[in-house]
Amino acid sequence: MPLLELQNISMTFDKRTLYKGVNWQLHAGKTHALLGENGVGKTTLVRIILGRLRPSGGQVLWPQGQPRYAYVPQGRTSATQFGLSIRAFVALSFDSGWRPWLTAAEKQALDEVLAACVLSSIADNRIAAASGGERQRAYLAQALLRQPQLLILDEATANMDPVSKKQMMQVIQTYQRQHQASVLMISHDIPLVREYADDYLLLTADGGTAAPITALTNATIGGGDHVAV
Amino acid sequence: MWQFEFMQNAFLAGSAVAIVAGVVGVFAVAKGETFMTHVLSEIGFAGAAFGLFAGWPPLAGMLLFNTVSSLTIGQLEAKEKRTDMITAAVSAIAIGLGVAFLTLSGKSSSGAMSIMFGSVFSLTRGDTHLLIGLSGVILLLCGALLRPLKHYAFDADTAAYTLPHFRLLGMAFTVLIATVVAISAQAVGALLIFILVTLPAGVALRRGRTVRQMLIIAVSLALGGMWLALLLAYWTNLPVSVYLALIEAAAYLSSLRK
Repeated sequence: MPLLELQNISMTFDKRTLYKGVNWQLHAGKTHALLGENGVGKTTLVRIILGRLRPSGGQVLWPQGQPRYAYVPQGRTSATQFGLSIRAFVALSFDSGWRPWLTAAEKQALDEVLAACVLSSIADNRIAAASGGERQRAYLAQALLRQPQLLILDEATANMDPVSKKQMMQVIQTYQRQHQASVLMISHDIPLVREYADDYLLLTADGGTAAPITALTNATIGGGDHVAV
Repeated sequence: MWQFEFMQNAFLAGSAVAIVAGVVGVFAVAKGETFMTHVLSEIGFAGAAFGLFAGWPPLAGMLLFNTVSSLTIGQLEAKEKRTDMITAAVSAIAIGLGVAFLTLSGKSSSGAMSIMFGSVFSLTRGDTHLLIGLSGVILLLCGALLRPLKHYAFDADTAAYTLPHFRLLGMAFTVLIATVVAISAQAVGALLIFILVTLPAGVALRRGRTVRQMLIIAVSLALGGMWLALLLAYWTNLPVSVYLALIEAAAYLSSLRK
């Protein structure tokens, strides 16, 4: 049984149709890549999946019930404007309950996530002073602290060097194996997607193509400028 | 000087206002609501002028105008991207109305001075109790909402997806700022709200590494500045706002040094 099923989703803004007839399934323990040119509406589709936008047509179905999810959006500016440490930034995920302080269990979970994301040694440094790769891992740690069953990454490895990228993807893979989590990654990085994803949806105005990752070739994607190889 | 009731009132009310302004200021500045805070003080000016005109206490007029307009701005902002322009337009209306109410009330100069620059030494015991009570309610609310408020103010990008009542929290937060602006204006005046709400928070956000440290820094600066300003004002017979403005601005400017 799939974790998520998109049935015939369409989206129209001010008479402009972004796409129609989007069909896709996400499964527990699998990594799914959402591809497409800039402006095709990938982030919009994520917002539809997460219930922040109502689609113009079609249905978003959660056959096993809506899972706990975490979303790592792109283009975060807020974190770099203040003096917060990486640890304090990651701990913002503890956002429910009335207790102003962290419990012992919460502190332990925080330490574990920081260690898993290779951030323990720099956890007390200011996030504003962290490198691009460290900052992305902090965003990831903040998401993983929620222990999501579905992790959504919006261009989480963009502008990262190959070493940082690999380190980030290894953290994600380890978490995924331990928790049987489903990962949905929006990316323009085709080699990365080929290496880590199980299947993909190439989003286009007519709904796009969903296929196993082995079917993803340069010819499939048409060699457009969205292919950052 | 402690035998004078006006001095006791000024210290008690000034301390209460400084504490809440420090606390709420951290969240307001973190959320990027500095301009909103400034505009709410201008709206507060219109509200207080309306109070004078209608024969109400200025605080009541301020609370009414600030609460209604903060919710209106919030509603308009939800539909429009240029939020700063909406805030600017509402501010223009507020200042225009404020001048009109002041003129109609027939108390133009003394009333305007007291609204714009504060009159902490003229607070009565009743005013003081009211300010302490309102400050206590705001602190309790901040304490109860601390966890969601932290996420909302410091990382709205993800809070929008994970906080179950994100929009409701946003509205509650705006009303909270509006209330703090209204009560802070009793001490420092509508024109100089940012002295207490935004400058100590500005230092705190640069220097603190955790939200708790930021709250402690902002409250210490607001409270210390308020006490020092009250003493200097008492000794020199100049308005409290003068000293508070200089102390807090100096603290912020020196925090810019690495």
